[in-house]
Amino acid sequence: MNRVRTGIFLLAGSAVAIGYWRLQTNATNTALPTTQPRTASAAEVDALRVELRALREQSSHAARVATHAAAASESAMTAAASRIGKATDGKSTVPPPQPDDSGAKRAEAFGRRLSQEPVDRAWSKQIERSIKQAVDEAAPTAEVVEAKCGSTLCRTVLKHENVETRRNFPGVVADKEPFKHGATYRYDPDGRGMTVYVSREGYGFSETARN
Amino acid sequence: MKKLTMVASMVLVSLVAKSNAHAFDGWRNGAECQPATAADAADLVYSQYGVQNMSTTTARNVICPIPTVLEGDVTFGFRAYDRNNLFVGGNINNISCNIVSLTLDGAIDTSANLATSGGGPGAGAQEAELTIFEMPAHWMWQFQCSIPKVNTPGHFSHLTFYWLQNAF
Repeated sequence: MNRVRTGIFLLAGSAVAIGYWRLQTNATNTALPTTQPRTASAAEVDALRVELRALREQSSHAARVATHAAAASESAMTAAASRIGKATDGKSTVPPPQPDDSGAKRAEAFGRRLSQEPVDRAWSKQIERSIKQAVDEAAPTAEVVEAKCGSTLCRTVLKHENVETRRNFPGVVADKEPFKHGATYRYDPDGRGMTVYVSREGYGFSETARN
Repeated sequence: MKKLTMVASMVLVSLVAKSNAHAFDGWRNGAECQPATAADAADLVYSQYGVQNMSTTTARNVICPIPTVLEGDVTFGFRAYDRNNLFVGGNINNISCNIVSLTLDGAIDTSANLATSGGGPGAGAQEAELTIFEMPAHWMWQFQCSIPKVNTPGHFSHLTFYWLQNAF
């Protein structure tokens, strides 16, 4: 019985090892083709397809990470250059502040999501009240211009007293209902205005509506 | 037989690891957190048990690094010992952490909160966890935590570990 079990295990182990070895061989052959003509079997082609898909996924992930790194690095260089009053090309100039375009696009997408999703009347009334109460308690000088909810997302437009009270706001409401379940902030260029998208508990920040 | 099992397991593990290359699992000790201000630093003590607040008068804040890009569904959590059972404004004092993503200017882009509940002298470890769903890829994240003051001598609240899980 033990011999049979050992035999089965040896066979399974060999199959896995051979499969892995062939995957590696395929990768080598793709990079460095041999001078001998090769006839690819269907299994080899399938294995190569799987590997190619994985490589594509890895490369798109690497590109995303690189884009973020490049953006962060460029912004840091620009900020450093503006602090010393010189642009990165060496000319003496202070670049104007750049609008955060990605934030604007995201806010537009959330606006579309909110307008497309049905309204859960009971939930939306309760959360709109809760938003006003949290703002009154945590930031009494802020004015709630709008509080509107659908079924998974709410939009709150606020006018703050000044830049400093606006800057502090996310920190003071972060642990309050309903902000504690997830809130994302868009800062108006005027220094006082702010739009907050608040996610319903258990939902998230998809830019498209669920119907 | 044992050697064969080991070889087969190693091959299988390497195959599984290759197919799940985008997953990120991170555990960090609370001792890696920085004091939020110089005043906070005066009351914080660091050890293998993480970071603890020694103040008998005020809660102290720490900022904990998350040095990675996160995207999609991201789960954050922490393990802490909440030894404070004082009520403030109808709420009991808890260890409370905001998970925040920041803009390049340092402003808060997105935030969510998780906290312990109850607690008191001699209380055991608590774990809190939440998931933020469908986040766009973001580069700068932080855990910002408030650790309550000591209200019974010798019973310090401390943040031992925090973690995140992200598969994208």
